[in-house]
Amino acid sequence: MSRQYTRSLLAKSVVASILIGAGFGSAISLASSHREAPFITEVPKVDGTDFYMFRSYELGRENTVTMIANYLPLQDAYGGPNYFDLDGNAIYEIHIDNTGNAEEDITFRFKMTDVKQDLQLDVGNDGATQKVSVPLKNIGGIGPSADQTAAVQMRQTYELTVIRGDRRTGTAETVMNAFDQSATFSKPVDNIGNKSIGDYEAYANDHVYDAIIPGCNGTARVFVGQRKEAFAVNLGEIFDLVNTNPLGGRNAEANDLADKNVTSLALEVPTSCLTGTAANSNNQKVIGAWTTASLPQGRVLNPQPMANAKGASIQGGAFTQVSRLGMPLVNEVVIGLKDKDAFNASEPKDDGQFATYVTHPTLPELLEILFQGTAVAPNMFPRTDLVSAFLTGVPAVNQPQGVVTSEMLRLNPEIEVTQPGFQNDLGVLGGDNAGFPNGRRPIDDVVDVSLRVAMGALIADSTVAPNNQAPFTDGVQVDPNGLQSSFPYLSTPLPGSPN
Amino acid sequence: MIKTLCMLSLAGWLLTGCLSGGGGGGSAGGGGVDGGGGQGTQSFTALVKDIFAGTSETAEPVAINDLTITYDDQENEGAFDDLLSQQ
Repeated sequence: MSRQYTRSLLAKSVVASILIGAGFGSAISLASSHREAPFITEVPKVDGTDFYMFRSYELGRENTVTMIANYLPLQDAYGGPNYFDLDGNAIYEIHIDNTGNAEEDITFRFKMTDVKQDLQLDVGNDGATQKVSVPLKNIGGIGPSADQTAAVQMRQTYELTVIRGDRRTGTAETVMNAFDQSATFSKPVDNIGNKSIGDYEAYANDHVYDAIIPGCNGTARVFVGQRKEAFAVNLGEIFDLVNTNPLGGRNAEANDLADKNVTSLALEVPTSCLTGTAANSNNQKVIGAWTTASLPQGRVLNPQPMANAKGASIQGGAFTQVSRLGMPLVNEVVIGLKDKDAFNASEPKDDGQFATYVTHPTLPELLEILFQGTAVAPNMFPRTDLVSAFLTGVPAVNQPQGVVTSEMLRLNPEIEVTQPGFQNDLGVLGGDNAGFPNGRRPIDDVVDVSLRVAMGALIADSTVAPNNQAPFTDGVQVDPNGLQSSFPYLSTPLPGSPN
Repeated sequence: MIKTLCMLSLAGWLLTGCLSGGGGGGSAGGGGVDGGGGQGTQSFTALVKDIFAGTSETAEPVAINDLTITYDDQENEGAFDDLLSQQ
């Protein structure tokens, strides 16, 4: 379908009528990667929502890099009785490319294990009681120390593996828990509520572990567990044909994710253990990273689940990638709907198949249609500015020399950190090179940055990009008071009760 | 009525592995792969059993895009009983 025909069709249908009452303003719909592809909505436990990577700004940890992979979107804290465990059949991975060739050189693989105990109560008249299993996740208090879980029926632990080379056939070694020299780490039970877990912050903090990575000098830290959702967006309006003012106040709208939790896999690693040969034109190291989740390829539902045998399903076969996330918003608003599942299953080395979505993006054209006479899409093709922002990194900042064009989050960890309180949430666009797209910090307003870049903020010639100075926004900013200044940086999750 | 249902993760459709991953294990449903590289015709039941036989952390998924899949076990409630008893 031609561009002209598309514009005409949309203009004559719903778009124009919706805009009549909206003035110039309705922006674009963006949630970093929450439920962004058709298939992933069927398996929310492996739905990667946001991926952060930044030079650690916790005092004394500046020589480390923190990576946070968030999964399982839109958690309502009261979602009992099972809450939001991760998938014990899946693998969750963070991949590092430190040579600039679009292939992983290091992979950190998280594998969850369900820990179950059958809690029973004596029920019946005296002398004739029966032991009966209870239906709840817990039947007593939990914490504040990590090992105080006697009243919990089901919780999760995990193992962490570092793989050097190919993610499947490379050399795999177990990351050890420095606390007890074991290969097992515990994940806190979700924040059921204040009666079950009186001091959730202390309980969760007791699950932050020092970790020993084979072949890595220095100590890493790891945490897996529920956190308060840090991403901010007016999700409803955005996906309703940008039913808001994209040139309004930057924090004038409601953050639809403000009452949600998410599950984080957070890892802090000494920088020297991540860097390789990739370096920018100033010979500063650059690392690229992305997160994936994979499921066994086959699943058979069990018509007769057994409490002490096989459960509701069995899974087998090779791990098959179903979620991928590096740069925010790519699969959300760049990749065409028909290819979103394909993108989630793809690897950066094969990104040539998606190049047209970046060189000839539809998002600016949609904005132009939605806000006729005001929003004007850049008239420059191919969009080399977007290739730089999304596929190669910014020259002299986080673009490795000789980089293979591919989509991932890239970080120059040699750039000095900006302390909380001084961080500019527009990142590099706002003059803060320690922020997005040089990696991504929780504070970074990637929605506003992406909107502005999509509309030509990186194109100097205003005759080509008339909106290159326009302050596009979705109207929501990340609340800095909702973040921590220390690992794992995202805040204590909202409790299920009281609420 | 007890009904056995099977779901196959379709994520493998993107992947480029060849159909050797299963090693031909368990084709009780009939109809093994009759074409190399994931081409040919195979029953869904056999495909699932091949996939399960390829369970390994180092394996690549079975490619299915070029495979013609037949569904001839939909009334067979016990089509996957052997899998359920093995796991």
